Amino acid sequence: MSFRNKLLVVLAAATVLSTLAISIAMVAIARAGFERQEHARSASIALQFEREFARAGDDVVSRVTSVARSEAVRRMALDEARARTGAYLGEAALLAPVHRLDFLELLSRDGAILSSAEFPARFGYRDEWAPLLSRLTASGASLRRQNLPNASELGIFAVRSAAAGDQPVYVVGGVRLDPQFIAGLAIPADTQAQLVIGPQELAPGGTATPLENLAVQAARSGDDAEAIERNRALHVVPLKAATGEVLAVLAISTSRQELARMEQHILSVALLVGGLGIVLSVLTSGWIAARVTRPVEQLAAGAARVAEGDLGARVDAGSSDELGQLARAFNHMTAELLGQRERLVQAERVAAWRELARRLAHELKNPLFPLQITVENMVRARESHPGQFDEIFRESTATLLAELQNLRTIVGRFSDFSKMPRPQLEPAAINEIVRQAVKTHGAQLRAAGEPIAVELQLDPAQPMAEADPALLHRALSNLLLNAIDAMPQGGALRLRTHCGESAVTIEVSDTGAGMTPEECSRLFTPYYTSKLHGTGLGLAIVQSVVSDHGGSITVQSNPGRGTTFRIELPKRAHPPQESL
Amino acid sequence: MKPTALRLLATSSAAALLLAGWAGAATRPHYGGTLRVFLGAAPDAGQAGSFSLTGAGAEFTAGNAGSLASLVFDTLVMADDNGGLEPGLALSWSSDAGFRRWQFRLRPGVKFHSGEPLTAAAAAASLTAVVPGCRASLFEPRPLSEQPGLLESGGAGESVVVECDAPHPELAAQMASPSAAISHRSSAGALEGTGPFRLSSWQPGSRAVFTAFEGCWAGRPYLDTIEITMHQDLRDQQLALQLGRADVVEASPGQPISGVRVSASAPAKLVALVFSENSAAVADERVRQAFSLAADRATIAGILLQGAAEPAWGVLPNWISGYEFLFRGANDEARARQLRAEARAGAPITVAVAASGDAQLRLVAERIVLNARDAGFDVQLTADLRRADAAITAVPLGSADPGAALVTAAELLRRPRPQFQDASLTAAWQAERSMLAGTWIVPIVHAGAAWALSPRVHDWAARRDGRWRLDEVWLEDSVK
Repeated sequence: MSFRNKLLVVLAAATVLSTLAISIAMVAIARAGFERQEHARSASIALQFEREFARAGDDVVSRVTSVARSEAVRRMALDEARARTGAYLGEAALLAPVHRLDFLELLSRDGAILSSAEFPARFGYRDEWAPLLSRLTASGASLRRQNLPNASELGIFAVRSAAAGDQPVYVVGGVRLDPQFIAGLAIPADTQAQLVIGPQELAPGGTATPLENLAVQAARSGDDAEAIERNRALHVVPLKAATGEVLAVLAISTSRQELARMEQHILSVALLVGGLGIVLSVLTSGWIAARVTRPVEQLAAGAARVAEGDLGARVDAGSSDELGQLARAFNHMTAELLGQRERLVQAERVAAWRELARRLAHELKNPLFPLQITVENMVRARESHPGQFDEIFRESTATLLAELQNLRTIVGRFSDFSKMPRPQLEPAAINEIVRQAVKTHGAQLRAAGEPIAVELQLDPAQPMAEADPALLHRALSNLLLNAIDAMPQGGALRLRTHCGESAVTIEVSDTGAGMTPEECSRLFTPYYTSKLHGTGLGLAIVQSVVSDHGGSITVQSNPGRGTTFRIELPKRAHPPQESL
Repeated sequence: MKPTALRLLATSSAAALLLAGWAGAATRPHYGGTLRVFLGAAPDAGQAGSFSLTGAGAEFTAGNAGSLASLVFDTLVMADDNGGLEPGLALSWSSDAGFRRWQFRLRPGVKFHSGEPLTAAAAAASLTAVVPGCRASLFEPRPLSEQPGLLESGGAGESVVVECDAPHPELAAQMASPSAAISHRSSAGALEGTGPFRLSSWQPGSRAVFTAFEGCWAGRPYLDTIEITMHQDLRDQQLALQLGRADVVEASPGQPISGVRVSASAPAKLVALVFSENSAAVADERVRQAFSLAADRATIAGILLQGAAEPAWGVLPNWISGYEFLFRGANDEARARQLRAEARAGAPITVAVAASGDAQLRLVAERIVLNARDAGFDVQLTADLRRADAAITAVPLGSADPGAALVTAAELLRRPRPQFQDASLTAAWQAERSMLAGTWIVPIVHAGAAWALSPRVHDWAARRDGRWRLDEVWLEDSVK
């Protein structure tokens, strides 16, 4: 991925992420605010209920007190013995409507029912509040589940006692607490409140509604409970009896549609901002690319040209920022490299000429010395031994001719190296060229002092490469001659070909003395030789031929363990362009 | 004697005679007036001892009984307060030695409300199927078995014969029960009787009006009209009495109203818990026995019904049978729990009130349910009488005769008709024991009826079994 694309992605991601983060934060803030509002609403309704309950409770206390002070109840208290025989069985039923009570029970001091308006058949049974009567007499109203013949109903109850007589008569009266009780509460339009009576009897689980489950949870724990159900927030307040039992719950359900709309709005804005951010990212990245990535791309292109050998590559260093400094440094670097290369070439040329001069001097000196000696012998023989001069002259003439021939040979070699022709590429069978080279030098291999075993490991795939067979034959010949020279005591010569995917490999291995790494590094330098009478041009010619074919040659050698030359030729040759 | 003195004596005597006449007029029966009666429950077809109407006219159901029916219908035989039998529409009756063939000689000159005469054919038709296994027909004299060649006495056309497949020693007493009332369908299609009143208006569940039958064989009743207002609770009834809007209201014998005259009957109504034979929940007799043991009869009779009832262990109260003590037991909640556990009764049981508008009956049912819950049962009251596992039912026994009362009770409780070996109390006891076998019927209390009367009501003479006898009643301010 290009730097520009990376930049675009980073900018777009940064925009989207920041928008997302802001959206999430806004949603969270809105939600928190809404939940605070929900709590405030629920608390308000719960408070209203509490006040309404207290008001109704005060009313009940007042009515029950009125019943307790009534003449009928006072008469009962005075006549408790008869009351226990059912003499006042119907009294509660008469008093209840008079005092506008839905429930009324008149109890003996031990809590036995003497008269019940709603369930007269319970005469004699102990009331559920019997143990609490003395305490509840002095307290306000509280919730209670009143048993009826076939069911039970919830009510707001109060207890008071009739003081007349030795034994008190307790009056337990109440009014029905039904779902209509909360109808008088001021409930906001998007909020609902309802009484769930008997939450303990609800069956939580699969078929239960979330509200029922919440009611059961609140009833069991005795604490408020909250839950979110789709688009409604549920808040359940347990309503407890004097015994601590949760008899009902006040369920407040607040619509969250407003919050949902707000969240939807925020999401829409976020999407819009995100989209705009992406567009801005593209534009910004383009602008930044114009300012940042283009110089970088120019630098990359310049570096690529340098890598390809074009040390004249230059980039625009117009800006004064870091990229401009980088471009100037790049230009400076290439200029330095170019200068160094020119100086190196010059030095190498000087060195080459010196080496050439040294080699020429050395090569020429060897034949020149016999020539000088022979001529001096002839001079001395002419002066000292004229009679033997002719014989000496003949002998000396032969020597002179031989040495002159030697000089001609030396000059011919140098001439040949200087006249290396351009390869004429054609599909060439590499195995065949190898065989021909071995065959050409068969006599020399056999004529060596010690026999040299030749081993051919030629790829049966018959590798083909675009090559000049004559030049390749010449290069292989040089390698074979080097190998023969390296094995004066005999040895093994192995030639191996291998057809690769895109190149053909030719290996020439000997078991000669081998070379040191230093020798190996200088091996292909023209006129370098480790041999006593070598010109140092053989491997230079080999390298020249291989290079002209677009291939490469490497050497691997260890002293005492032989040497292996490996030539890799491309199947389709790309010979380097001739340098100027 | 001086003339002045004579004049003074004459004047004084005349004034005394006028005062005496006025005073006598206030204490002598008078014709006319409307007797206003308030009732708590509305008689309906499902309630024993009541009647229902269908169509435009009066239509009494088979097996109807009770006070309202006795206003309209008469029976061949009438039972007195001691269980003795008196002539009704039949002047005399007799049976053969095996109690299979009964002959009733009809009272002459009796007319139905439409004016049609009561004939043996009409009476026989009315008595058809009254007693299962018995057939009513016109009397046909048969040769006397002990005196061949002589025929039975009793004029043809004046007598009705009831012939039974099995001995029915109680049949004469049975003929005194309201179920054996003589009715007749007039030419207009209405069902009519020969009683002192005829039904002139009927608003189901709320009001009924009866008017005096001028041609009644026993003489025209003093009252012109009887207005019965139904579905009034006890408090409203008492208020109506105190305000002078009612002349007769229901009262509790144990709760006399101060300053008001109360007429109470003997406990002649059986309140019982009757189990459904189709209910699986109460199929085990131990469940039914547990209900019986758990029932707190003393509280129900003494407190909930305010002493207007007595705990009942048998179908018949002791004052009728004299042997009720043989059935007596005791409330035993622990034993009831044990029986419930042994029966492994866990299924919910529903109890209904047979007469939905009867507050006292509902009170009894609520207590029975509470008692059963105390014994560990899962019991609920239900309004669905047909599907209930048990029902609290009130049955007017209708007669002071044990046999007749048992037969009436069996009919109204839809139990098999009891079989009597003879007319003895032992036979009645055996029949009752057989009736109670299986504990399908759990007697709870025997309740009496009580009526609070306004001062203008005179000669109120309720029978011991609670039925009204309004043909003798007259109203003080009915004198014009």
